[in-house]
Amino acid sequence: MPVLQIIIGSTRPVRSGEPVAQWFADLARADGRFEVELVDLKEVGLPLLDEPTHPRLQQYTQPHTHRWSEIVSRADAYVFVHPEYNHGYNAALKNALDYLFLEWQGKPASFVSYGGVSGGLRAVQMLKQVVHPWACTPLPMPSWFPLSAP
Amino acid sequence: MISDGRFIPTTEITASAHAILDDLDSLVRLWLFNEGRPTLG
Repeated sequence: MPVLQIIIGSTRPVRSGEPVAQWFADLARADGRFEVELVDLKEVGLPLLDEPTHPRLQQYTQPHTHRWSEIVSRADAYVFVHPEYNHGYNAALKNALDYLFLEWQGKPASFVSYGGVSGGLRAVQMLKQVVHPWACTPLPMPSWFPLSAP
Repeated sequence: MISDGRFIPTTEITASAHAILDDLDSLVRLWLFNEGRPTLG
């Protein structure tokens, strides 16, 4: 069964992303077509990118990068659950994406966004561009909804 | 909305989440096929 990772992109102490991701994970498990893993960037705890070479080379020097690479490599597809900050994606998610390259490559990805009036949709549009260099396949329609919490 | 730490989706949101899973299911089969791990169905 293909592995679907639902990645909580926000690392804030109080975040809407956690219950939203939990809801989506429960829904995906009940659906039965995927083995579902919930991945929390807060628990992964990546510092700001500190690798000296391009991730395409996979010459990782830091233990946290090796761990992150192992986690992401396990999946066949991704759903990123993320907020919108200042009309864009949040820094923690972009940082986590930038750590790796080949691990994401070619796999389908989608987005579940939240926040403000836009429901995080502007962040989704930016993230679609971010994942394109990997030839990652973003789905045309994300799920998004307005929430007033962070 | 979020109540007692749980996300309560609307019908429309739940429908869009199911649509995401449907699309992912199709695309992941293509990905697995390209990786030499084809699935049935």
